Amino acid sequence: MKTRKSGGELEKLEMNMTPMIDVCFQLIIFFMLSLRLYSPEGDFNVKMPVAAPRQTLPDDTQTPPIQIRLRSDRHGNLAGIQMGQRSVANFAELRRQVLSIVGADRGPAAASSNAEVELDCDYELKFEYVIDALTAVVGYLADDRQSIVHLIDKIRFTQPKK
Amino acid sequence: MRYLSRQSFSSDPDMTPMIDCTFQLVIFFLLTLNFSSDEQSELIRLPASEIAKPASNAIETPVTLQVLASGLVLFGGDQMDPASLGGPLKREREMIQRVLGRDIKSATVVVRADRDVPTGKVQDVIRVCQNAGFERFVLRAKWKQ
Repeated sequence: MKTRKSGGELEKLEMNMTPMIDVCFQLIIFFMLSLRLYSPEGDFNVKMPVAAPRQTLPDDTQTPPIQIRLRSDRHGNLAGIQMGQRSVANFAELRRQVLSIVGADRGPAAASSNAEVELDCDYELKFEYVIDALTAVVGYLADDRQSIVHLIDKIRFTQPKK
Repeated sequence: MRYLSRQSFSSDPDMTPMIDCTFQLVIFFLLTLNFSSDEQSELIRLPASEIAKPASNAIETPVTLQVLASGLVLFGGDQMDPASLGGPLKREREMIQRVLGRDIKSATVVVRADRDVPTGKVQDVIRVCQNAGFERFVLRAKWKQ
């Protein structure tokens, strides 16, 4: 603490720290109680079919969507994956199939920029399998494990099958 | 620090390290404070994805719907059946249009669905949103690092 001379003696000036420490502890307790640690979250853009019928004819130049069918058992677990008419063993295989269709080119005129995926899921299928399917078709982590290589951004859902 | 005088004993502890630690804690908690926690219910166990990285730019007009494993929807702090979601969503739409002065097409419905909820129920919720005039949807997932 600062001192000043008074009549040849050193006098100690004490600053009362108690209120500040009180406030600080109040703040700490408030922040501790309101602390919630969440893991980071990301989004997948999806398109849903509108119930109204299409007014215009489909464009002939438009490529047909890649149809992916996810079947479930009665407990909601994944029972099978189909891409078009072909059966796919797992989501890693699904990604390889999608990659073989859209190719490695990622330019604006690339096949991936126009490609569209149509997900056809059973009603009871657990939602986590849909996210797994989206993860397989939307992209994958690059070798640096930081950036994402995008495959297909246009995702569409059909009406669920009961 | 303790010292002895001729007549009395006095104790004067050095408070500086404690105050330093206290400020460090206050700054830590301030930086980790999450103001959007009201839109992240702990009842939801999100599915994980390695490519669900947090977006650098925030969604302009988000409308967050949380679908519990039971199929009930958590919206605006209330749990409700998807069938009764229409009324609150229409009120939300009017608020976006009148109070915020924004087009409903610019609003994005953020669907935070539990990993175990049937996909059909999520699509039911999205269909109710479509009937209320919403057009843009995103499915939220936890980032698996």
